[in-house]
Amino acid sequence: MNYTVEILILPKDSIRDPEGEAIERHMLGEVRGKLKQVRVGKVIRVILEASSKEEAIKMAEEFSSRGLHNPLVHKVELRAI
Amino acid sequence: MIAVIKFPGTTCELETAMALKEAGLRGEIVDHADFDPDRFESVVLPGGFSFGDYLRAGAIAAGSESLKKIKEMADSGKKVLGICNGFQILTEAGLLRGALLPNLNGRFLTKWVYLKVVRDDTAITRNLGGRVLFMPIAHAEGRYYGEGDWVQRTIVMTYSSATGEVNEKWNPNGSLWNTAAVANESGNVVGMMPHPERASFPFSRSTDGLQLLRGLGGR
Repeated sequence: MNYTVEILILPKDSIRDPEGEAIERHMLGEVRGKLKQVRVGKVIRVILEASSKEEAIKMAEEFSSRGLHNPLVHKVELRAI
Repeated sequence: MIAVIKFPGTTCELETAMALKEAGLRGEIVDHADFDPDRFESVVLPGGFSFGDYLRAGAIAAGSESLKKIKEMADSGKKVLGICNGFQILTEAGLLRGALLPNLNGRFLTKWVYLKVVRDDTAITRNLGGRVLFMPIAHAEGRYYGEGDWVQRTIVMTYSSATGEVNEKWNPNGSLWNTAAVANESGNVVGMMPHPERASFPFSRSTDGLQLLRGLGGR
C-alpha cells in the first residue's frame, strides 16, 4: 500500500535560525507580544510503498538521515497521512 | 594535474583553473560525471551554487558518485580543497566535520576579509602559520558550526583584523570561533569559505590566494 509521509525538518533548538528571527522581528506585528518564537524549516512530502504506516515512517526516517536532513544541526518530525 | 570539478550550478571553475595556472600549477576543469580520479594528483571543488543550492547548499552534490571517488582519493592521501560551495559540499559529504549554516545576519555577504592562519600542518598552509591573508568572501551559508572537543583542532584559518586579532568584531557570518577554514586530521582535506582564486591575479586587490593554492602542488 502507498503511504504519504511528511518529513518536517527544523533547526535544532540550540541552533539560531536567522530566517525565523527575521520573520519574528519584521512580520507578524499584529501578534507581537503574544508571539514567543518563530522557527523556519522544510517539509518534504514523499509517497512510499510499505506494509504499514509504521514501516513507511521508519523507511522515511532512515533515508532522511542519509542526507535529507543533517543530524548535527536539524531535528525531524515525521507523520504518515 | 589538479581536477577542478564542475557540477551543474558551479560558477567559479574558470577563475579557479586560471588561478592555479597563476600559481604555477596545472588545473583541468572536469564535469563531475566524467571525473576519472586516477588522472589527478589533487582536486579542487570550486565555488558556486551546485544543483541550485536545492535542499541545502552542497547537499545534492555531496550525494553524487564523484564525491565517493574524491573520498577515496582523500583516504589515499591526495589533496582535496573545497572553496565556498566546495567547502559546503565537503561537510555535507562527511569529508570534513561540522556544518555550514545560514549567515547570522540573514544576508548574502560579499566583502574582503582578513584571515589568520592558525594551523600550518595542512596541504595549503604549510609555512604560513600565524600569517594574516587578505581575500574576499561571497556566501549566504558560511556560519561554521560544530559540537565537541574536535572543533578547535580542525580550524585552519579564522576571520581576523589586519593585525591578526581574532574576536567577534571580525566575525562576518557568526561562525563558531570565527572559523573560516577547517581541515581533516591529516590536513590533506581542507575547506574554506573565502575565495583564494579571487586574490590571485596582478589586477586583484591582493595575491594572497596564491600562497594557499601553491600548496596543492606536489605530493
